[in-house]
Amino acid sequence: MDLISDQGLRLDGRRPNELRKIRCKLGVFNQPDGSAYLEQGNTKVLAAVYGPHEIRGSRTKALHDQALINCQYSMATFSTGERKRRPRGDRKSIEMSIHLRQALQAVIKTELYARSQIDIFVEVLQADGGNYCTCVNAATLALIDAGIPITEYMVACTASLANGETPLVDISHLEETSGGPNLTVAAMPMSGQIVLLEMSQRFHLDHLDKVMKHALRGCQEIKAVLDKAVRDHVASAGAACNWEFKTD
Amino acid sequence: MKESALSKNERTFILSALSENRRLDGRALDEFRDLNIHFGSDWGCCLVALGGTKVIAQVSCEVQQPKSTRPNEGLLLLFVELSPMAAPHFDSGRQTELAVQLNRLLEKCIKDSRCLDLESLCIAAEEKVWALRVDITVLNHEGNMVDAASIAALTALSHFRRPDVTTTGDQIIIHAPGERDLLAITVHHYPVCVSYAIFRRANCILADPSAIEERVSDGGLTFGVNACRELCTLHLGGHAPVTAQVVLQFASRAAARAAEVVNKMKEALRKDLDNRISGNITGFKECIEVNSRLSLEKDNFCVQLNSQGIKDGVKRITEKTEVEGVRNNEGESQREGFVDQHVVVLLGKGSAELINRKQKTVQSERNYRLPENEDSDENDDGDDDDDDDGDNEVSSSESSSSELISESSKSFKGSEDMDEALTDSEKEVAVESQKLGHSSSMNIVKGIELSGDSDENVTLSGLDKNHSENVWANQQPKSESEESNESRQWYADSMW
Repeated sequence: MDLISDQGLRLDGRRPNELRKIRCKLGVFNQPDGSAYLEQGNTKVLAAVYGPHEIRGSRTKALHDQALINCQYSMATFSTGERKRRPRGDRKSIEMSIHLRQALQAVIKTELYARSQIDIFVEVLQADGGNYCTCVNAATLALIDAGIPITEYMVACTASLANGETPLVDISHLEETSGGPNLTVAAMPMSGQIVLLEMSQRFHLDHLDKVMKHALRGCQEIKAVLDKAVRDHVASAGAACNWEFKTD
Repeated sequence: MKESALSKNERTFILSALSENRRLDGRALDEFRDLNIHFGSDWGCCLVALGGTKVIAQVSCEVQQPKSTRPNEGLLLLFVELSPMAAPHFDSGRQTELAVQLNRLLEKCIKDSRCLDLESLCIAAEEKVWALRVDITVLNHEGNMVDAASIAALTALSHFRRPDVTTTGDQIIIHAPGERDLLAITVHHYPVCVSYAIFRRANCILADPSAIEERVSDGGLTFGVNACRELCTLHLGGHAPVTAQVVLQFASRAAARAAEVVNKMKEALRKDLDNRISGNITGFKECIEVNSRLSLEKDNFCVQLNSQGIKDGVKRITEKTEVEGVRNNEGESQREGFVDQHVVVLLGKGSAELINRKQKTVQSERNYRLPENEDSDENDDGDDDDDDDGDNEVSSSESSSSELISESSKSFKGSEDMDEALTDSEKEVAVESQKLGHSSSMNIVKGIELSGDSDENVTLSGLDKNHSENVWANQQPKSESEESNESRQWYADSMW
């Protein structure tokens, strides 16, 4: 299957360096302290944040100088093409939860909430490639909605290589499973620091540079979209109080 | 069991040593430990030792139904087990996070990179295929289990032989090994994992971290590369953000190392094949060395003496039978020399040293004094070939208790730095500083009674500064000392 047609278009009609359409909404739930809904193309993810609150379960897990971050990654049974038998608790989900926690721990200012716990729950409603990235992005929005201080946006993006030479950004499920390599990057776009890197399949080392740069650029573009959404949300929430916004 | 806490002293020591580009075991920042590959007597059984980390992998095969999404391909299952014998904090039972991560990383590296020819494992499409199962067990955790596990898994897969199958119309016949030769599995490429540990505060990246370095590190970077410089998996984890440059830089280094490792693997495979052909199957017997310690935590504790002043001091000491008194400082350390002839040299003021007469020269070299500057860290002393004999933990690896404990006579100004990883093991260096005021002569004691050997439960620890002197005085003239000497004699013999 050709990932890029003769006109240089991908399977869903995008150009190689185009992101999928991002739609998001903050504050979708009442109960959690913060929540967000994010769609990247067909991948739809819900994120909910509870916290900071007292440590549930064993007190021994409490860290004396920082907050404990607890992440749970769950895929709805109807999210994939074939019904998923186990929404969470299998190895892949645990690994995703670990990576999510890792990425978010790098931006949350945990030192402000000693002996507390922050819960982040992420549910994938439709999985169409780039699940982890959408989850990270949704979690960032939910954290902002919850009012938990973070140093920067934590944004994740995927990138791949088509035909061994053209880098693709934000790959869909079909492009993932077609056998091409895929690189997932979770980074802080303003400082350019990479917090998590995951890669599967294989490609030659020489291409790593290109693909990583594309992924980072994708992160920055996503951040711009998310930032706008946050500002719009805050402006509408505070419209009654005349909250003003400086445009950066 | 919970993992034993990492003390601040250990952490600061390692970090400050790193800021001077020194590692605890004396390796260079980008140096890897020795890699040893051994094969068992069965096909597909492989033991890999990367320094102290030991991992064993076993491949087995079974006929099963293929996955519906891939009806023509065989199955490959990887299962990593962190055996409780590998580390005290590993529990049997549900897979911990670490085990899950290890498992996933290896799956991505070996399965997703399609290094095996799974289509050749198909017997009857959509009905029967060979399912290969690789069971990886970590036997000893001394850091960097990922690398060792990936090498073990790949070597075991290349080593494995499966039964031959013939399909005649409806019938499928699986031939016994005697009937027809077993077939090897086609491995297209060898994606080995190469790991690095990232330290933010010391601003450096180490290759092949040891267990304690891993604990102190902020993050880890693992590359799965094959010999053709193709990247098969990449994982950056932990709490250390990095820039893209760093990743690229280390990617190329990892590729170089991967090429070396693959050569070693192929070499080991070839040798084993030759051995089997000549009928000389040794199994794991040869990798269990009878003449070295197995049950202790560390092989050796290496200290490098830098300053010339120290060396001079050391020479002076070795010439004397009676040593000048030492000045005791805070901290605790002691060192044992292990030998046939135990003599305890009392260094005055509650510190003593068990010295082997014939190795006295070597031992004394280890006694060093830190000069005015705080620079002398501990390093690997490559010239010292008595490393093994030199410091060994004696008895159990419980700290304090039954050892002769001397107050550490570290005359370092920054003594906190030197309180390195002494908690678990008993490797301690008796640092003897040159006089500066005290000149009580040393008494050579024929034997010393150790707490635990007698009814008197005297526990000496470095904290008991005030008490230690009295205790020494009480303990010296005991007659059971000879007995305890002998029991230590036994210990010494079994060590080497």
